[in-house]
Amino acid sequence: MCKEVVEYIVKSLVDRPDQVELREIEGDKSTILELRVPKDDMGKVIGKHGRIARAIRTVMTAASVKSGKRVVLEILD
Amino acid sequence: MKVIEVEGKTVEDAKRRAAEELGLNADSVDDNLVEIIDEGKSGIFGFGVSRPAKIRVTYNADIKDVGANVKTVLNEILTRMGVKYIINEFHEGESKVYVEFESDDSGLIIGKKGRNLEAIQFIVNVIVSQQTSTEKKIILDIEGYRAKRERAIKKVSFEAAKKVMRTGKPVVLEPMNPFERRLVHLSLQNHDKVETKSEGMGIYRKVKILPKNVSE
Repeated sequence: MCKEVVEYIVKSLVDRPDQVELREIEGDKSTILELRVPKDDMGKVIGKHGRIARAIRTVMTAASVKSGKRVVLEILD
Repeated sequence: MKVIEVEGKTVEDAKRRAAEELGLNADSVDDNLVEIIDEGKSGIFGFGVSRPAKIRVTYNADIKDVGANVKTVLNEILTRMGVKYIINEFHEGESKVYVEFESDDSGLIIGKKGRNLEAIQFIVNVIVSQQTSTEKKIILDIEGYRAKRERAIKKVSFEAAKKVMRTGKPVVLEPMNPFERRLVHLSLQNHDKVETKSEGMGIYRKVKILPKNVSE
């Protein structure tokens, strides 16, 4: 569920949605989402002072409440 | 805003072509401004002078698509969050789009001090402005939360002001977003005993209420 939320938001923001990679690594208590986007799209995902990245994380955390599992979003470059 | 002139065999035909050019449904062209420059003339049995119909379409990309886009983006996000909701109110004005909805998960959508609602609203704004290049600000509200929050902030401001007057010492309120800080400033701007200042950086910016220096 969280993955889908993040995926939709990120793909709507970037110029090249086909090159968005989102990997889900399941742990016992938490899930890690690893996000990779093309370099040119990085700014669109992070935003000024990380504002967009923070908003994505907030929405993702809200979505995770229903699944009862902690989710961490890592934006990799 | 875009203005295009299109020719066709008939006015209807020209409308269809205009729609095609703008990438819209033929029906939605009527919602924009269609001005008929020339009705056209078909000629009799293919003889005579035939003239194509000509129309001018003033198309404002913001007129229709923004509202629909807001609803779509909001729906995509909330559905993926596993949230069911109903839209109660929807206004689209010159500079704002206001959406009010209700949900069994309203607490989750609002979050602590409205944090989740702010985040969803911010993301919807970024996505919609990118997709439609609108400058309209989208405001999301759930079950009248914003009005409630506004009242709560005003109350907190007045109470803090009273405390400042009683003790003569400044009071620093909790961190707030720009909109909420503005509300505090506004509600105390005509107060004759206290003044307000914002301090701190970024998301931690807070309003400080301090006694007015009478000697100044």
